Amino acid sequence: MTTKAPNPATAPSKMLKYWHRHMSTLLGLGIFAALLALWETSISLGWISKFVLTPPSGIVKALIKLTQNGELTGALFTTLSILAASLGLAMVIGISIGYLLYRNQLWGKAFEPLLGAIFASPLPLMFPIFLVLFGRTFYAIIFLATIYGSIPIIMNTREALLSVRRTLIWVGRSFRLSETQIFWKIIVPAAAPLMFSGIRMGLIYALLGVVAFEFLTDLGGLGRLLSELNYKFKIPESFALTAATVMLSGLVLFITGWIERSISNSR
Amino acid sequence: MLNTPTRVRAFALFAIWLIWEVNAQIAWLVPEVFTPTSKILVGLVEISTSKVFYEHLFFTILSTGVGFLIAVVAGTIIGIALGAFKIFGRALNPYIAAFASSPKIIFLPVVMSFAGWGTETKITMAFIGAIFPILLSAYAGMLTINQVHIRVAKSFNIKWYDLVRKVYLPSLRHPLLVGFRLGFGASLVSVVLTEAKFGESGLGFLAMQYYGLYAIGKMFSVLVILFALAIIANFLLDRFATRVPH
Amino acid sequence: MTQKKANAVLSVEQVSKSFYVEDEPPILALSETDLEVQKGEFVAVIGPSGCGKSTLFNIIGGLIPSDTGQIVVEGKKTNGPDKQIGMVFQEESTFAWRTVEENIAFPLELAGVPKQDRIKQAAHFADLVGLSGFEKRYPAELSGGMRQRVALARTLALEPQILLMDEPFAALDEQTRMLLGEKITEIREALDQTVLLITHNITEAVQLSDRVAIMSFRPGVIKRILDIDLPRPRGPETISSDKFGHYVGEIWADLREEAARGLRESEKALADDH
Repeated sequence: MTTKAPNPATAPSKMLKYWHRHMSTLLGLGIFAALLALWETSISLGWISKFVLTPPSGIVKALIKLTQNGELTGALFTTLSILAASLGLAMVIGISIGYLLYRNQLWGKAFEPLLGAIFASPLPLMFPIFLVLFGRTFYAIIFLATIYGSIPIIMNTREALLSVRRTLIWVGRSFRLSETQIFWKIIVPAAAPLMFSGIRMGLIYALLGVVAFEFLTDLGGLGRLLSELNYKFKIPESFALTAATVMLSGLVLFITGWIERSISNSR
Repeated sequence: MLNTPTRVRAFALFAIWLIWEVNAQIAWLVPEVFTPTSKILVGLVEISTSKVFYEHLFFTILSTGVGFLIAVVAGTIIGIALGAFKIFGRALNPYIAAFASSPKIIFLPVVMSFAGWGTETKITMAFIGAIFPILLSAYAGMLTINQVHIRVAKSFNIKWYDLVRKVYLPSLRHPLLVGFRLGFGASLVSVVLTEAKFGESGLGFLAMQYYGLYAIGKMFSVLVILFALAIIANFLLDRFATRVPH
Repeated sequence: MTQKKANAVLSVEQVSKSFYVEDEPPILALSETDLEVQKGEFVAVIGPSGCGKSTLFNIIGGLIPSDTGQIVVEGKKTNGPDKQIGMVFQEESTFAWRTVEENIAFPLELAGVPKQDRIKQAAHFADLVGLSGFEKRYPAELSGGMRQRVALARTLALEPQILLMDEPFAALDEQTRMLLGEKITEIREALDQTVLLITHNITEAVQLSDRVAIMSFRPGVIKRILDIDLPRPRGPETISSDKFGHYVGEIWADLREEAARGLRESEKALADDH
């Protein structure tokens, strides 16, 4: 019996996809660079005042200044610490509740639409409640961000566990595995990619909550710094911080996306 | 007895309300927050009979509505364009995603630098809040359209506007609706948070005023109204989308 | 057709199973089914769709309990999945997150076999099913037929005495089916196993088995057992022989009746729903 390499039809299209993927990355970079250039020239040519819109060169200078005097790094540290605490809590709460809603079918079916509705609702508007509950402390931020982040984790954990195909569980039973063994050796690995997807979403939403709350309450971190810079009319610096925050989100997205792909690659 | 999902849900909601109310009445845990339902209702009545409230309500709805509508048009068009010219869609997707997952509030200083402190800023913030969910939903929807339909239509030398009207839009109905609902919620949040931070008008500003005066009951009432707004808008969007023929 | 019970390595005795659906009368899937399989035999169970073959498969494998009767393996009544029975399922069953090697080594891992030995044994079984060289690949990189071979190798890893398969080749194309069928015969001879194959493919049943048990439509019973008296190995010449065609014809004659009944029942059910 021959053991030839798999389906030759996949070979050329794999190459095409490789090229395509790089083509679009280059195109994206190209467009981005062109926009940056346009931005820079429109200021230097005087079409727009540099006091209204800081050029990219100005942003870079301001970023360096902020890093050197420690403001950016200090704020970043605060925000990331709060984010880590919130995400940690969100994962613990989210995965536990998601698991419970998976085990208990009735509760799962009952609460899933509720969770969906809460998630789609303007949840950040609840922030004054947290202010009153916890006062102007970091606990308020952590609480809000944890709730915000745990909802996608709950929903995705439950769905991930439910989506494991019955056949895989039967394979486990046919090998006389105990229910615990089946859970850890079959269900969890099978559900992992979708669960991670939920954690990724939870992370992004927690970050959203943290920075927004920081900005609104001037408590600390990137949000507070932005608010302060804005208040002091330090325009280039506030633009720089906005850019830095977008880059942070992008970085988080990119890293978690890479992890998600590598979990799924083996599938 | 509690054997269907609906009953469990209803019971859970009732239980939460019961705990809230009991706690409010016996004033055990953080009594300032847990205002009795009766006080909230009274607050609601008081507010809805004050002219000032309606002025604030108007400002919030105006900014949100205008920003949202502009985002609907722009987001749908751009989303469809990125989906139709897939190479651009794939190229720009990472950048759009980075912006989409940033907290929109960080753009406020930038916007204020351009637009000052007034309504234009709020409309722009509403636009920024709504554009990403709408754009991404439209784009994602475009990616799921069966390519065969498109190729068949093109083989008949279809004009681009007919292609959009007769092939794209019908398939996009559902994803667009989801995008609009998420988008409206996001734009409402952007506007209210802007009002809370820098406003002199609008429901966000009003809520912060009540917070400052420690009139928690009235603050809650404002929040209840905001949530009610979101629910109504959701409902209307749902209705509107199922009526529109194309 | 009675056989001496003493030699039977696996026997299905008076097994019935009903399914209960809300608001409807219970469906009798199997009705006092009997079947005996001798050691070293290759037995195919063939029947129309809906005859309860998969139910029988699940009961023999110990995944679901029967309402009446019992499954006896080597003289002992079974209670759940038996150690001597290895199951191969019809649907995709490989673990996507494990390599081919890790898939095959899965039962060995659970039996506490140390890592070095596991890898060696996994390589041995990979070779047996013709997947040498693919040990470090992931199932997603393989074709459907290759994935079924991984599932087979995984089942064989503990060297069960009885191989129980439920239409393992159903999702594959004809040629892959036939090649894999030949492979199974080779493996059976190499490992001296007993094979019970559930299938709906008549050619496959005649090509591979020593005996073919024909099931009736719901409620399922073994209607008839046919001895296949063809020499092994059974290559292309065997398949084109008259005797082969004769067997296929006989089986089809029996099956046709049952399949037609099945079709009528499902049409009636559809009509009733309206």
